[in-house]
Amino acid sequence: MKININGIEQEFDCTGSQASFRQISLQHIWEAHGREREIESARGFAIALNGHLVRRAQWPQTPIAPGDRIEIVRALSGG
Amino acid sequence: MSDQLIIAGESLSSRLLLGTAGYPNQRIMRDAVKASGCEIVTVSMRRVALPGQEQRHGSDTLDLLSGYRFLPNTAGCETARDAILTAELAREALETNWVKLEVIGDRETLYPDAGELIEATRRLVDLGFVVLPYCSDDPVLCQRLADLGAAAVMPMGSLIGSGMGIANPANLELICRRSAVPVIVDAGIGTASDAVIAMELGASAVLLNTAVSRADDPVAMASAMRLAIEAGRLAWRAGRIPKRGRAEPSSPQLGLVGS
Repeated sequence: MKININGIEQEFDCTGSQASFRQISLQHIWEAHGREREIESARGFAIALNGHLVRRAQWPQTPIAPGDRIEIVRALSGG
Repeated sequence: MSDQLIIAGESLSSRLLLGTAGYPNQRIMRDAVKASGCEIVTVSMRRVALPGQEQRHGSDTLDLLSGYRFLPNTAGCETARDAILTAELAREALETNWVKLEVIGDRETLYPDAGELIEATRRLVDLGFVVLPYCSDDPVLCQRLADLGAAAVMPMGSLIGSGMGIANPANLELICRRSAVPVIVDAGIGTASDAVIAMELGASAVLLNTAVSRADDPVAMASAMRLAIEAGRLAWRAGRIPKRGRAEPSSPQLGLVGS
């Protein structure tokens, strides 16, 4: 299943739990953090699916489908 | 003498809002923020680096500045739609409903797009945001934004990052005199005297970044800005003398030696 994450298309195995919205999201947040954190403490991060915000509480039950666009963002330095 | 800045019912003791981008390193950024005395720092929202990509600079800003109030911006957005989504992402990420709304209409000058800005302000206010729109120094636009529910207006001093200072003091004075909401001069400040001028014109606060972050000594410039904003505010409250085209001696005219 192809999912577009932050503008780059990626292939995910849709047979296991690896291709859940929550799993994909947390995996990327952990990578960005450089260490694992609990979902509740993902402060500074937020996610949109197909142009709409997905609240943190909804991450576990958000379905994804081929062709979905996920934006994973974080707060950075800014002016 | 209490002289608090009040935005959307929140009381702030500093009239300087400082950006966190473009410092030589994160330690200097943290020290400059501290030296500035500010309570509010601005941050941006950006895509996380994907595996294999280089991590974005400034990703530890939240940790370094814990305790400060974060004001997320929508910098770089060119449509109301993108700005609204960015604001919603920021609200989720930072648990604040405040947003510095930027909708850019021209990539070369970074001038705001008034139409998109008005639309984004209207919708974000409806969505419960405290909206602080970055806008041109146009009194009518500022009025419209305030009428739509903007918690403050943020007219530009001059072009973002230009350091050209206050390009149109007459307009800014007019905006400050008529505004029902706080006026935060945003962008264009180059050095301390520019911040003084903004405050002497009646601005409620100043938001700046590059003047500090790109100074030879950002921490010293942050201190200078703190003092400048305090000085400008005090001078505005004190009331300046009118300008006149002739000299008027300040010493007594009677009893001159040799007269």
